[in-house]
Amino acid sequence: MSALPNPKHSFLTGVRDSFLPVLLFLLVIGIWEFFTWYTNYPKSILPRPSAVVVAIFDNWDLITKNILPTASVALGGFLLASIIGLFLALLMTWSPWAKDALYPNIVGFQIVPKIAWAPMFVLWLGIEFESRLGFAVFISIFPIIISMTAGLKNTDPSLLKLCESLTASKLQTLFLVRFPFALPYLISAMKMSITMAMIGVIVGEFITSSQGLGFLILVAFGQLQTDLMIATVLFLCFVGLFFYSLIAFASYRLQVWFGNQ
Amino acid sequence: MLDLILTKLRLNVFTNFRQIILPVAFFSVIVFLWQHLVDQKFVPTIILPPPGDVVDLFIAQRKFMWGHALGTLYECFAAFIFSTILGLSLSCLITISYFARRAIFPNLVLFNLIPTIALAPLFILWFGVGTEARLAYGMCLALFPIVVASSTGLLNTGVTYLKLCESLTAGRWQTFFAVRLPFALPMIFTGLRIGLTLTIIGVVVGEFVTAQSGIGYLISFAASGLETALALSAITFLLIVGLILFTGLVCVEFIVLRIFSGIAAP
Repeated sequence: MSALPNPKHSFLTGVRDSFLPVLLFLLVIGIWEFFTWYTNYPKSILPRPSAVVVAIFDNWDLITKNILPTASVALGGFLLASIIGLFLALLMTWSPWAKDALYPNIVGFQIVPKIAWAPMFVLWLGIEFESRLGFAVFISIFPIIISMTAGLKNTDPSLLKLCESLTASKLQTLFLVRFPFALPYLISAMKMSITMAMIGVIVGEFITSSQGLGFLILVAFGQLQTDLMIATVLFLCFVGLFFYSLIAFASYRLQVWFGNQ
Repeated sequence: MLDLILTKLRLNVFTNFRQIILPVAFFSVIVFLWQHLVDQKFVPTIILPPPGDVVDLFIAQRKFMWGHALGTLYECFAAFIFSTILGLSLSCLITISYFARRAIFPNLVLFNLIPTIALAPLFILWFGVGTEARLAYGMCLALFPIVVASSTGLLNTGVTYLKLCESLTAGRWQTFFAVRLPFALPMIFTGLRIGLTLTIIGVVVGEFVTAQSGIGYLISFAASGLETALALSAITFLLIVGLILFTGLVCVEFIVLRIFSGIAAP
């Protein structure tokens, strides 16, 4: 079989290509179900997939009640990080002095494994949602700053020269030329950033919390309710997926908007 | 002409000077402000210990903390090596076999959506509270970016090169090692860097959740005991661990790219 892209792309190969991954997925789930059923595997270690589905319906209220605390803090942290990060990136592009002073420090700070700061935020901001919000902002701001600064810097030089020859002011150039050109960078950074915000909130909930999906996972872990744990993780996936598609939609709207200008 | 060169040189020296002095100055101002805030009792030392205390503790407890750091370093290194081997072989399989690619790749992308950080307690349930759990967890976190990045790199070789290989009747494996792999190396190393960061995150989170030693344990232990200075100096030690691992990876990248540069240069 050739390693090159298949030139004969018939309907049949299309069907096969979309069925193969589903088939593999179902196969793995099937083996899992059969194995746990056949060996009567301890439910607390590896529950059957069907038990997970049952756990979702049994604990529906409990799980859905805990979605909002996690999702709202993650979204809030992400939005704050985007606003502050964007502001810092614009500042650093506008003033080379600010860039020289801040950028090496930010990059240097980024080397520290940021997850290690989580207990410090609990210490600083308490065990309420503030500490998780603060940590989510902290952990999700770096991708925004770094990629946005790179994006604003990498504007087409000929466009910048055109701006200069048309005597556009620095601010005009920044907002009318550099910013729209940096949008793809911003969007990819936002996708990374929302994931990081979710991680931040979940880690924060692991360390100390009395609500949220991360907390629910820990509670289920303490009671050895592994089926509930897996069910909660599935819901976390849905929340992540929802945010991801939200950003994809927002980025589409933004691109259309700026494209029309 | 000489005049021009001199001006350029002077400008360069000036900007270089500025690029070094400014960040250092900014950093010093922050540290100074921090010290001042603590001295004037604006913030209690429990919340923010004076920077001097952190440095003192760092020096006084360096042997004790180095012991913890070594455990974390070892776990990160082992988990990273395992996930590299596993990830690279998986992406090899994905590249070589059309069938495997179609079957596995979409599932990998789907799996990537799971917030793996939430799986930490599950790994402790499966592997116990020992090193194995953190190794497996660090591996699991690092595996996906490595597989996705290296498969993307291996699959996106220029079509012309592949056509050339085919017309020269190179075998599938020959094409893989002589063309695909050298071309994919930068992409593979990007994946490895992300993987390394995630391995460190995995091991530290594993230590947060349950461990009796290691830097992550030390940080959460110190923070819960309100020993902020100890927590901050432990974080500094984690920075050193991260730097050691990253420097190692960058050296390997440099050497490997050097070896393959003769082949990969178009």
